Amino acid sequence: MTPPSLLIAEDDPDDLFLIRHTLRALAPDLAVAAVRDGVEMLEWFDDCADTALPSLAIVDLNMPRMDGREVLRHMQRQPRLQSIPTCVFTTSVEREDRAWVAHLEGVLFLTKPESLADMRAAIELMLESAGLTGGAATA
Amino acid sequence: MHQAVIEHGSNSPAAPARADQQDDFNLSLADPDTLHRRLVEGVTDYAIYMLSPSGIVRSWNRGAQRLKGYTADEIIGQHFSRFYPAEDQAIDRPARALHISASTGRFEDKAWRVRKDGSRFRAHVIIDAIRGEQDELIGFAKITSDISKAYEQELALRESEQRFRLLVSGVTDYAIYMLDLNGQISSWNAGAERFKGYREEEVLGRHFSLFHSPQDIDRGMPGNALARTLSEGRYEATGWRVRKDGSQFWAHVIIDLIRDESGQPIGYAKITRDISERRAADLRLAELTDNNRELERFIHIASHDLREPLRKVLMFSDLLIEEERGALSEAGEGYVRSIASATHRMQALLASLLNLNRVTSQGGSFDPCELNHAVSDACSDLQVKIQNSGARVHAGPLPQIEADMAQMRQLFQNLIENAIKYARRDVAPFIDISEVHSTQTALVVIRVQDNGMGFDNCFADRIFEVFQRLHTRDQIEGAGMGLSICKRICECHGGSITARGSDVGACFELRLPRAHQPDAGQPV
Repeated sequence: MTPPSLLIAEDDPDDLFLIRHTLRALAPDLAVAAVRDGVEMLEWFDDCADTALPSLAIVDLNMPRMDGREVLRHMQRQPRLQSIPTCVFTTSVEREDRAWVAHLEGVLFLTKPESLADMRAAIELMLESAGLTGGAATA
Repeated sequence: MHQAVIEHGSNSPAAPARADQQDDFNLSLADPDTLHRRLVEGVTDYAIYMLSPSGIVRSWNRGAQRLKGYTADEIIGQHFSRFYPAEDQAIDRPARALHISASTGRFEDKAWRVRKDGSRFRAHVIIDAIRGEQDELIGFAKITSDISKAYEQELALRESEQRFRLLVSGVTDYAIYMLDLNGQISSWNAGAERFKGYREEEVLGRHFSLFHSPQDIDRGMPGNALARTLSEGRYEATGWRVRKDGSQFWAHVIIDLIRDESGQPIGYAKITRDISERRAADLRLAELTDNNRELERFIHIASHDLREPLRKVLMFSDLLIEEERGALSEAGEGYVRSIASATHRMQALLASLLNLNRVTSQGGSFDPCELNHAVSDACSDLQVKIQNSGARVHAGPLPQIEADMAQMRQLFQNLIENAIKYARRDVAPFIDISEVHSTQTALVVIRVQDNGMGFDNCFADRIFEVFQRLHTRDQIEGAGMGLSICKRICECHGGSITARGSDVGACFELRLPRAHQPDAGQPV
């Protein structure tokens, strides 16, 4: 079995850096791939063998070309993508966004934090929800 | 003479009776002369009598007696000039009347006549000259009727028409004028002169397309307007009209079709008002509303987007402090902390700006709202601050009003927070919230009194302004938006808030309508 991996869809390089930075500390053995928008993400999935699908997907809501909402809709329709644990990680504080994500099964909604400590807590929560804590995490 | 009697009597109530009588007479009295004499004598609505060529009364009927008050015995043999007022006698009117009748065959007049008792009546008089077989003048037949009533009505009508004309011509806020069926101007008033710049004599008889722009004339507008009025009875429009000097004004125009008594169109009445100012005001208002909406959208987007880079500044400051501590001097670490603290403040400002914006742009949902619930909700939201400051919040029985519950909670939360923030250093904050009796039943008045520092009353208005604060930042934390938001909330509910400072603390008075008025909530 391939080792657990993680896919991040994030167009903001700072946020991507901070997520990667935090992940390196929390789960150094996790393979991390990143795409910059929804289109790239779907292409990544298309190129990916079923056995190599990620153990966790972190998706930003507002991205160029294809946003996170469309990506999630697509993933929900595709049986091979349906079961990937997913977390929406966004700056949006809109109630509608939160409500929309809440009706999707197995999708976590987290607001991007404003401190390093909160970032660590958020990533920990994501890893936990995907069952990636313990063996992989060596924080 | 007899002819005249029948003509004048045709409308009188005596007419049908006369026809019947004539049949009877024909049966019983064959002599037509007797018949005519009896007829004339019997007429009561007209004075019918004979004069000699010199004007002496020769015969008298019942109508004459009724009209003039003389009996036949009193008047026969007298000169007829006594029926004339003194001033007419003085200028020989009676003689002239006879002269005209003698030379033309008939004299007719409407004038004042005098009764026996000296009272006057308005008379319609006909004097027919009677000639013999050799064409010699043998006298005059005189028929007089009392037209006083008709005369009074005519006078009254003329007076009211005059008054109306004066009224219309004097109106200066409306151009009121008439057009004939061809669209040519047939009357003009002061308002028309004021708006259009033409004087009456310049404009009478000209076509009203004079007031339209060449483009409107090309489009056939003046003619279409009249055609519409003709088919629908009325036309109403707003549009540009041209003054004499070529300048334009924004006009509200009404054209009404005028018909005669038989319903035939005879012309148009046109009322024009210069509403340029109203249009300008409407446009300004629309522009302001647009600007406001634009501004709200801008604030919304800006405060979201501005928060983003600030978040990064905070995170990277954290990284510096936590992970590069060894590389930083003590001073360097201090600088990073200053950066972080300024950034936090900036974030708080943006958050409250967004909050303020939300009050106005998202409107409220107005439902029955227990103000006591709003206060207790606010207190539980502020639990930590209340505990830490040792504050006590006391609320008396508060009414229920139609309001947005979330905004009411925010309102009391901000006021309580404000009281805690401006507490005296050595006195635990005490906030008393109570309803004050109001003389206006539609309004509830709520007083929020604290025992804090208070403020100088000259700042009573300024404390509600955005980002306004009466203390330096190191004295009091916060963005300085709390009270602005309170003010917005009150205004959104069609109410108001005022503040009074004193040595014993600050006192805020909220005035809120009991019931929501849909028109309210248009904050300035």
